[in-house]
Amino acid sequence: MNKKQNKLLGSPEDLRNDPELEKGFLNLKQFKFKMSPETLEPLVKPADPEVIPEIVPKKEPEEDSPWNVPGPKVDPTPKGKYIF
Amino acid sequence: MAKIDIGNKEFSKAIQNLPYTPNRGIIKKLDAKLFSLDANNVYSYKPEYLAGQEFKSVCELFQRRFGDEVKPSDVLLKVMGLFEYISRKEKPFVKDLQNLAVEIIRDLYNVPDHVDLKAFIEPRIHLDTEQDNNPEPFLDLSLEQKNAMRDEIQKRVILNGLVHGSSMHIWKGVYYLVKDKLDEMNPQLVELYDEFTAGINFQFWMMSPDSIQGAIAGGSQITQGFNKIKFDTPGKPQATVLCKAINFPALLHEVNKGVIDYLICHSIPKQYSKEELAYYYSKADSYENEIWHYLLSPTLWSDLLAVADVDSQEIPKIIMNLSKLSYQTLTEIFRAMMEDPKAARIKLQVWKVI
Repeated sequence: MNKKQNKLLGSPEDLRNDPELEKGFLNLKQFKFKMSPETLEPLVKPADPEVIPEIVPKKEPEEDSPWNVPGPKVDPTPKGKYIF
Repeated sequence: MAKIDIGNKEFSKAIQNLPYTPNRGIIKKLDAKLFSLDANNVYSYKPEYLAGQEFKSVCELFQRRFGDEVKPSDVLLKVMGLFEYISRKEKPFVKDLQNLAVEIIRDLYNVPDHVDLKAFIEPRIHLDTEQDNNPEPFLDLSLEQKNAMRDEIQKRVILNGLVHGSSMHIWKGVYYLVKDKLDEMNPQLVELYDEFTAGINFQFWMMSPDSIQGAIAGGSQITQGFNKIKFDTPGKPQATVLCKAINFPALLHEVNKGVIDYLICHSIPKQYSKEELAYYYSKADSYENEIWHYLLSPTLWSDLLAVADVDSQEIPKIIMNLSKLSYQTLTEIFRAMMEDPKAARIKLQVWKVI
């Protein structure tokens, strides 16, 4: 790991205040993209499994539900230019 | 030049005992039955009844909320001042009010999560609400094709009336459902909303429909809100309803409009091509119909509520059932509502709407 990459292990505040980084790598995201996955990995804090939101697919409505509206080929025209 | 004979002046008669008089242009067009919805078998049947009932209700609301303090000629200035004042008072609570608007409408109709309601208060709405008036998508449609769509277009005009009518109903006072929360934010809000909504409603009747059209053509910014439905996938029910409005009552109006607009999509013919759909929306959802929906459609909605006599959570099913009927049957039902509510209720039962 080179010197600049090493700096990325510091806190975001350290990085923001580092004049060398500001000069050469204004965009932190761009800099990170240049790093290998192995280098990036320790920078990512493992997520707490309890706080990971469960991805629930949108529930399908019942067949005869009024909310089971088949999406048309073209979305309806917006209403409301005049007053509302 | 001799005056044009406009028949029995039914609308003039219907409002003759009311304390205020609408704009002359409105009276003339309704007496002559010459307005943008006049090709529709429901709206052309008894426009004097639909408009007369609504104007009566608007006058009562105006008197109740303003008393004798405000003259009709001062209403426009009053509502403009109220708009600025409301914006200032709402500013610290905009996010809460946005969430509240969605919460109210979701609770009212039991809207499921797959209909994603996104609501925003923006005191200065940009004119990103342009309707696509480009005729190119349907230039190739033949006259026969267009004629074959006529009934479906008129059916959607009636259903659009329910979209607008229900939203005017919501606009006039549904914020009372959350009065406690609004009072916690600022105890002035409800009173400000009372005056603003009654004033705007009254103002619709004091303006010439032609001058509104002219103001729009001239690029005037009088938009209070809009909504837009985007389905995730054709044929699937998941959708996002984007609603923007200048303040909380207008946002409630828009979120309601978006939800009822979603429900009437049950009526969109599945067999139509993209070109046919573009023509169908262009004709049925034309902006020139909107002012007439504000004037006539609230009665259509309040009659439906009175005749159906159901809880709000049953309304989505009623809208769906109505959306699946033919133009002729809808005409029969809504005409009966204007004449004989008991007969209309039987028709709703016969057609399995309720």
